Amino acid sequence: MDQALKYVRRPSSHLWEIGLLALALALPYMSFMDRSRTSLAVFAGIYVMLGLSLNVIVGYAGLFQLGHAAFFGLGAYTAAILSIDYGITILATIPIAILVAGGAAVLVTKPILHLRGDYLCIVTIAFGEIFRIAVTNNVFGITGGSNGLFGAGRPEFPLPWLEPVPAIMLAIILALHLLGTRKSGPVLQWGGAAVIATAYYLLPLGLDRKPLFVVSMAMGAVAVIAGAVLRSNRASARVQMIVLVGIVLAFALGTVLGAETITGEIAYSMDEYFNVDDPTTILGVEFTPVAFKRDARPYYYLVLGFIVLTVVGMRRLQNSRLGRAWLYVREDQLAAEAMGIDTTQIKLIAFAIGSAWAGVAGVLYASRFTVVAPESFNFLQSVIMFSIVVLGGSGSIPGVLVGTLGMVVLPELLRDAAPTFMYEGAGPVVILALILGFYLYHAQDRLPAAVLESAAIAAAFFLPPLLLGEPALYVVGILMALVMLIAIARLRRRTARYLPWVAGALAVYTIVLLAAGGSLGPDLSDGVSGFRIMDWRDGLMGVAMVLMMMLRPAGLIPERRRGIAPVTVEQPSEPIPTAARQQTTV
Amino acid sequence: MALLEVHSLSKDFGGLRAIDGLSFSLSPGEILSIIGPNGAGKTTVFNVITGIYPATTGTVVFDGQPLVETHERRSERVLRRLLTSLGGWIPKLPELILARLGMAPILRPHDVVERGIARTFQTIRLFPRLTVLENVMAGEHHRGRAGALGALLRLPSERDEERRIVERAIQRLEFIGLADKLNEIAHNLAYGDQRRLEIARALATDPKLLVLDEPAAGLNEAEGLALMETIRRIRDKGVTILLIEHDMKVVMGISDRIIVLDDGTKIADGTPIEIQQDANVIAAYLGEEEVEV
Ligand SMILES: Nc1ncnc2c1ncn2[C@@H]1O[C@H](COP(=O)(O)OP(=O)(O)O)[C@@H](O)[C@H]1O
Ligand SMILES: [Mg+2]
Repeated sequence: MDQALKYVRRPSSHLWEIGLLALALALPYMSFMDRSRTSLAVFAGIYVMLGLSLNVIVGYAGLFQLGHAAFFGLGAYTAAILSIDYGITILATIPIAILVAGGAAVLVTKPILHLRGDYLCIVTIAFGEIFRIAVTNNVFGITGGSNGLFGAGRPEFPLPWLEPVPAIMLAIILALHLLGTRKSGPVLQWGGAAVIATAYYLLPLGLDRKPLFVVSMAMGAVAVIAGAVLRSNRASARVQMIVLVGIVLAFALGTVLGAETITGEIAYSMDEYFNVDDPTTILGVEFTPVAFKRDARPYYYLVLGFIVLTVVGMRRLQNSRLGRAWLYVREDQLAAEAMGIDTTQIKLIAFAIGSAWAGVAGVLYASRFTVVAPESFNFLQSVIMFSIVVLGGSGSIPGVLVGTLGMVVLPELLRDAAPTFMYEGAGPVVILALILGFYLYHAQDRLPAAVLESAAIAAAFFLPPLLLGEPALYVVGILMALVMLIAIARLRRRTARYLPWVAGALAVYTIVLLAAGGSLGPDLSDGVSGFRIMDWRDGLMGVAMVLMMMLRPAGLIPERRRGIAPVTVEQPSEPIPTAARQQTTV
Repeated sequence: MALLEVHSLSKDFGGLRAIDGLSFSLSPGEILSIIGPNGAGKTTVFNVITGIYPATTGTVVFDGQPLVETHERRSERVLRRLLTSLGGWIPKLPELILARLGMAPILRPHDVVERGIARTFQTIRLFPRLTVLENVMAGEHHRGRAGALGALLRLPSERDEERRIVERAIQRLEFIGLADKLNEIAHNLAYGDQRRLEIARALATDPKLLVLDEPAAGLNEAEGLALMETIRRIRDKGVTILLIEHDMKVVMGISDRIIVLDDGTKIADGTPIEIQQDANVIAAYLGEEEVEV
């Protein structure tokens, strides 16, 4: 990175991002992902986009917006109308949706931008409601009234299939370059490329090539980990390069050798997920026109692609002149104005960009559900979007991901899992209370961390059996909880103090369960008696949110910026960048 | 020609007349101080000039262009208000129409900065949670051009501009003597450093006129002296300076001219030596504190 720019654009390792992306790519193929959960993931993905778009307005610029669903809806209705009435293929309506939603945001927010805080909040609520009522009343006779619109198209596009593997690899590496990973060293780049290339091959193939998938995934992971290790050992760039080229060559070779079988089976596999047309050749590249079916998996990757695009875009905005202006406006509007920043315009741009992108999410929504109805864009949805941003941490991109997990995924999972999550005693409550109690007792100095950690332990304990619906896995859960606990305790160097408590808690849990019913875990046969999480879902969510905001007012994953505490300030060894200075290392 | 001309400026807050028929002018390269007891209306003068408050009556001309103009008919005021609300939808159009009609433009604080006036605040208004460098970069903002698209595509022009912004901001910090703290959070700086940072941030807008509102407030003797030295250096770079001070002795050394304000009216105007001997001034300051030479 440029000497001067390093002060404002902090180079990040991208390790987390690539790891998360690898996980996300593999998610639909994991054993606990059934049809409905993949659907849920698509739905959640759309909400991640909505959260990220609202984050521009609420997080970056520090404005209130409790009518975001209206712009989401504008995008969805635009797509549906254009697709149904004018036969435009749905993904092609995205630019129009951007214009409609962004343009509407400019028109609507312009007169109210000078309002402060709570007033702005009320007015945005009003706009959200006006939109909902307008579409319910079938304005201009094009919105279909309270039933909404049916039959929006599903995505269709020509899928290129490039025979030579290296070309694809090259393209992907190029793309990664453009995405700005250039500075994070060759290792992560190639590792990431391996992972993405794998996904490219496996996307249309489904489960048939599971072994190859696993191998490639593992290689991607090895590349990433090797890269991280080499980097932390400060291996020279040349050594890094050699190791990586080795890994990648092996990967490429494996893929080339496997390519014959892959291409041989493609038509068969693709039929499962797509309506496939006869391939056409354009400029020597074979394109297969495909259209999505109802199956959620292709949508999952489509939405994932959009999320990646959004995250990259948001990062760049955040780190730009415009992003800084948002920050100045958020921190002190008068001071920003006195520095020559047109705060009205800056806020307007935030609304325009955030709303336009909500419109894109709307197009995806319409293409996924093919039905667009007023109630999907009501006040509650606006509140959920707002909560996603605030719960996760205003201005924080990972915060939006976590916020969506909390606001959208968790409630659905609990609904899903209701039959499995039926207990003969108050087991889960007891263990949660015990863990929490011991933490609170011991960790008054770090209350928020304590709550988070106990939640993590409890999650490790409950999630395996919950997700997999297998009571026997409670053993695994106990093990995982223990591992988690030891890890946390080691991190905090208080092993000796913590362990007995957890052991005690688990023992009490076992005793309570045994005393109450006799079996260790949920009893699937008896649906009448016992504690049903489902009945308590909304109440628990509410309590959890209130607690959360009390303990972590900046959100679960607060925005991490150079300037925003807590930070360790590194003193630059060389405060004055000299443009002429050249790096002399190899 | 005068850089800044203030003519019969008045400002009412409800029934309170905070400035009353104030006139003065400021030549390029001058250091002019406005002094006066608390509540005399000094800050209000600044706020009117920099577009934070509209004036009640009077005119302000800066660099040959009208900044503030109040003697207008009712119909003109209505038209102006209408155009203001239009402003955000069709940028530049209101300005064009007003210029055609020969009326003063609608200036908001950021427009005033664009014209070449930068200011600091009496109570420090840094961006406390941002770094020193980011604070100064705020001042560079209005000369940048990169927008959302440039940022999203990370165009070469955008990168160049960003680099220039950072480099220039660092130069300002070197000038003011804070370059070694550029990565620190503004809030954590010592009080004196925060004052200086605010000046560096204002300088980053590249002003013709720098307006400082009690920059020495809260500083100790040595820091105060160092600050005056800095102000002189800024003037030597060709920036005209309008300085508010509550404390007379601070400004005696560096001012070319001093205006004394009491209860919104000018009671004296002259060189430091003239002011020290002015009977009105001594009277105004009597209840407040001793005038020391
Ligand atoms: N926004 C305002 N609303 C009402 N009165 C104000 C406002 N700003 C300043 N004043 C009043 O105007 C007078 C002059 O204030 P100010 O310009 O801050 O004085 P100085 O800076 O000389 O101490 C004071 O009486 C003050 O109370
Ligand atoms: Mg004052």
